[in-house]
Amino acid sequence: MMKNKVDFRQINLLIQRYMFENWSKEVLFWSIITMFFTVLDNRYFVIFVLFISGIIYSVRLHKELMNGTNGIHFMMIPATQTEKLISNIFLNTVYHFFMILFSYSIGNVLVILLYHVILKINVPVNWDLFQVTNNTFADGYILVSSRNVFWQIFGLFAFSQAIFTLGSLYFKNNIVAKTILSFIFIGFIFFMVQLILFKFLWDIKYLSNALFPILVMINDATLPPIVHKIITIGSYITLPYLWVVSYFRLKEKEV
Amino acid sequence: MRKVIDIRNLEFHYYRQEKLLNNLNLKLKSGNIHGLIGKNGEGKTTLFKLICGLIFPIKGEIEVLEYEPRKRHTGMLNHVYFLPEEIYPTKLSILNYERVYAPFYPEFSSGSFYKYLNEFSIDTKNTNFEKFSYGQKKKIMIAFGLATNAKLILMDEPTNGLDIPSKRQFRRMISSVSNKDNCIIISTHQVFDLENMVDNIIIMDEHEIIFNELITSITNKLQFKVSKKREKNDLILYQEETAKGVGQILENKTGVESSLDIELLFNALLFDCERIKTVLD
Repeated sequence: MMKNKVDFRQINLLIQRYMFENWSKEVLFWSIITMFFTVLDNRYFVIFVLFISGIIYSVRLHKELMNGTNGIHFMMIPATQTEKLISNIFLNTVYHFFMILFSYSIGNVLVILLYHVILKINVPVNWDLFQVTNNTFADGYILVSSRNVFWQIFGLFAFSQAIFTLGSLYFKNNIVAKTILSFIFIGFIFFMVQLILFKFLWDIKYLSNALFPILVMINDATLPPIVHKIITIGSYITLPYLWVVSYFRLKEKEV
Repeated sequence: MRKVIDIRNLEFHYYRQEKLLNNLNLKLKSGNIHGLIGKNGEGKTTLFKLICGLIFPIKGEIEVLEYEPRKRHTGMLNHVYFLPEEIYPTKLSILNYERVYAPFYPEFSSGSFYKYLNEFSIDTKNTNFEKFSYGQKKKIMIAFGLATNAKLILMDEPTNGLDIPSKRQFRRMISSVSNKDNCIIISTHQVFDLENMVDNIIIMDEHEIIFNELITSITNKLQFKVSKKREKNDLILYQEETAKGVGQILENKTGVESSLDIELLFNALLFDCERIKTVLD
């Protein structure tokens, strides 16, 4: 009996399959995104488009792959569930993220060219998508510090995509709404657990009004050191955990 | 001959629905073309889905090519091809369809694929799938399925949408593809399409398999004939009015083989299964 191991050649074939099957949709989708970025290149707008288009992309990808005749066809492709999941994660996370950056770059260059050719104005290229500047006032001086948040944004995007991948594997209809509601519900339970922990275990009087106060208070000295460790470890394992849950869900998925 | 399917005491029902398959047992070996017949809603498509691991049994065990289907092992999927009644709505050209999907099947034969397409008179130029009619799409999928050289080929209503010459070509192709290593199961309502093609008949009724016999065994023991009027004879097991006259199934005491009338056999089995089975046993 053959072993059910992961083969990167198979993953490549699955990605190729998606590209061949959807090239016209891909061209249309990324052309629209590029046009958006030509008109609006505001940093926050780009991040907003990244997350919203990511959700649409993830839900569409899974809806097309998992339901009805498409579902039968996808499940019958001779590849392991791990290979199928990895190819999907690659497409809706890595590929999508870099395509957004690519579209942003093209959109940015296009708008600069248009300004230059039509208005004869030289506009500087806006490449500071992941550069965050902080102004701190101290002793009458303004300290300007800048840091790169590429990995933070990529991590948050991967987390969002993992949530919606899992949601689209669980729900058949109204995937976005149901996933958001489930996330809020789980968040509320988590919030209540935090309240109980703060009140009865550590007797902490101050609490941030954020949904996840424990994350806001990570640097709070009043928190026991074990909490710091749990939060740090938790932030690293949440994403793989969501992928593993998605894998088991895909394994148990019936079409 | 190799054991391809082994189903033991299978039970299945969809969520909050009545039982669809009940205590179903089925053992099939390679080297045969099986015709699966049953009324609507008996669970033929469900049975196919269970064999492929697309849905999971409530009770019982399924073994396909020595794999458990629910694990969807690549080793099994490499050698199982399922053609559902509804065609997958791809937009690829034939060339690209082959380019994308053939690498997943280790024993895929490109030569056979184009030979079958040619037999079906399909224009293989770089035409978009969407431009083909339903019947043509079905022919392409059939050709692809046969070219995979899968050890188990499941076809759900494959002749739906095929014109008369295509049905004849389909029968010829299936017969030419069948060998001692593979097992082909064709589920259909159109029993005429199975005649002269299948060598084993499987009949489902009341959510169970009530009959599973080789055609040679059936025609050895049963005689099919058409009479002008109803007769009274101890050898007659079943008779019914047909367009040609009165179709009869008799115990074959003469040893002369007659041609099998699947529709008549199906009706006879639904009418009195035990009587027919006693004769066959």
